[in-house]
Amino acid sequence: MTEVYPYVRIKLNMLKRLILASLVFLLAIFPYLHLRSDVQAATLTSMTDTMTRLKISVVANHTIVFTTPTGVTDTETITITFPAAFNTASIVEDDVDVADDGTDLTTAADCTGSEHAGVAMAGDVLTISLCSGDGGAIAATSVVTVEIGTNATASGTGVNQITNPGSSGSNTIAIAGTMTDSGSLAVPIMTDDQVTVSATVDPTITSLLSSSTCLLGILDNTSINFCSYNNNVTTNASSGYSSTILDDGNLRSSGGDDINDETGDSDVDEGTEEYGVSSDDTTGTQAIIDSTGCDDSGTFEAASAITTDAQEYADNTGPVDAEITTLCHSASVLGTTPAGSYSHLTTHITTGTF
Amino acid sequence: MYKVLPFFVVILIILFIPSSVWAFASSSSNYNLEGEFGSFGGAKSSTNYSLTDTGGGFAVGFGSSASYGTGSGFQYVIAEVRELVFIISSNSIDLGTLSSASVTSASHTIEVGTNAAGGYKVTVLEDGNLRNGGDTISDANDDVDAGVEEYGLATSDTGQDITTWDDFCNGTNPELANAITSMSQSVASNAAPIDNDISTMCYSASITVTTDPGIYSHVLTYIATGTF
Repeated sequence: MTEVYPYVRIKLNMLKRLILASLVFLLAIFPYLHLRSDVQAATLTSMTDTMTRLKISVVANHTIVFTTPTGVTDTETITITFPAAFNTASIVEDDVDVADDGTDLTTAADCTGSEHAGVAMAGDVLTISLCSGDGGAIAATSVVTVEIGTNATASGTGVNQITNPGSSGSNTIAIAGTMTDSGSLAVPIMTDDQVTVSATVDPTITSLLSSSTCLLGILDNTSINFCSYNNNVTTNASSGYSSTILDDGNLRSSGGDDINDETGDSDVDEGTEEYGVSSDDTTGTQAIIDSTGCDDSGTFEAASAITTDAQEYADNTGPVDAEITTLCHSASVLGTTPAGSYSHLTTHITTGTF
Repeated sequence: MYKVLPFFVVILIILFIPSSVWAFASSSSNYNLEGEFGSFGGAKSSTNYSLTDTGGGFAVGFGSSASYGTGSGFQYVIAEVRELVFIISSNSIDLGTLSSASVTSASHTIEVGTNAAGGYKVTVLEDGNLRNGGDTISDANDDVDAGVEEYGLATSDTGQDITTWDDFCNGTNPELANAITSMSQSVASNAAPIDNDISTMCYSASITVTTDPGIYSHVLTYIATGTF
């Protein structure tokens, strides 16, 4: 009897070897089969959009910054997608700047030239296409800055801006494209992003007389008598102030006698019946004459007659804080001036020009 | 050989089991149900709406403390919904009639909520000094003193460009304040996600007896930016 088993046995042995070899091979390549053949997409980090206005329906600049863990090759695109509520229709290439780690890329409307990137806005999607072979590739971990609006001044000058949505709320802006990484951020659109601060400063003026009496004492024909007091003025009047004096009549006695006003030579002379007033405001020209000392150091004292008409004795052209003017009343008499007690009333008026 | 062959087969079966387990996903023409781990939730939309919801989970929503923020629920697991909310409590501050005898103060609050991983920052800038035509109220340096013509701002938040207040906005003499300028200065921030973060903005002013009379005003612009 012919033995067929050896033939079958040979085939079985070959099969076993084949199976064993296959198992060994598979075990050897197993680690590589479990490696993913695709690159894991990463999320953009540190994404911000600093706007110049958050108010509804107003235009604003955008400064969008993000870090790309993977980088962007010069054949890939970056897209920035705004919600449809934003009006991006006016944005053109000159209104967009792109910077890589602080260095501006050159941009154009497309990649036909030698610029680093083509920039185009369509349908609320800003597409930045890095141009192949033009050196605009962005390395891994780079910080990318995209300026949109009048803040784009590096590659052309931006004149157009994006208009904010017409209703308030948090709005999501997506960053993607054919680049590996992607992400999104939010901006808060508000009914009003501004605060108006106001304050009132009232007009003020104060005038304070240091005394309500001025005693000339006992007059005689051998001297000039004096008395003085101050007017202290404070005001925020932008054009300053004016102070005036008038009387209710001459310096007079109850018997009807009076001391004559200075006789028109702008002084009171010793031994002459004269009475008048002077002021120490020597800045500018006032109706009341400037004082010459308000003391009995000579035989005359500068003085102006006080009348029933207001006459200016102090002023300033701007605001003042505690400006003091001294008024000096002076008088002398003749040996024949009637005896008696003489007096009169003077009124001071200070007026601010606001 | 017969004895080891089954062993190798078993090993191969184990080694080629997929390394990831896919959650059940269901969808229709108008929705995708993207999360199902003992809870329900997802992003759904139709012609006239889009929404995300989450349910069945524990403590769903946003939570925060001083130095961390948490998000529980579908929206935070998938982190699709970026959010930054900014509220100014008042768009008008009237300091009233200023006096050389005292400091006048007034305040409002700002409030921020965000799930931005890096938190937020709020800045302020002005359109010019507090002014009445050509007359201005001088800017404060570090504070506002009674009887000195000064105006400025303080914030209740710490570590900002604008000085931090002394816990009160009541016309204390002096009242801490910095000048507001045409350059952005920070007034509030947080380094992590946060909800309902409120800061107080305190405005203060005083004048001299010679400060020009009139009604003074200026406009401030507040900008909130999240770091996602």
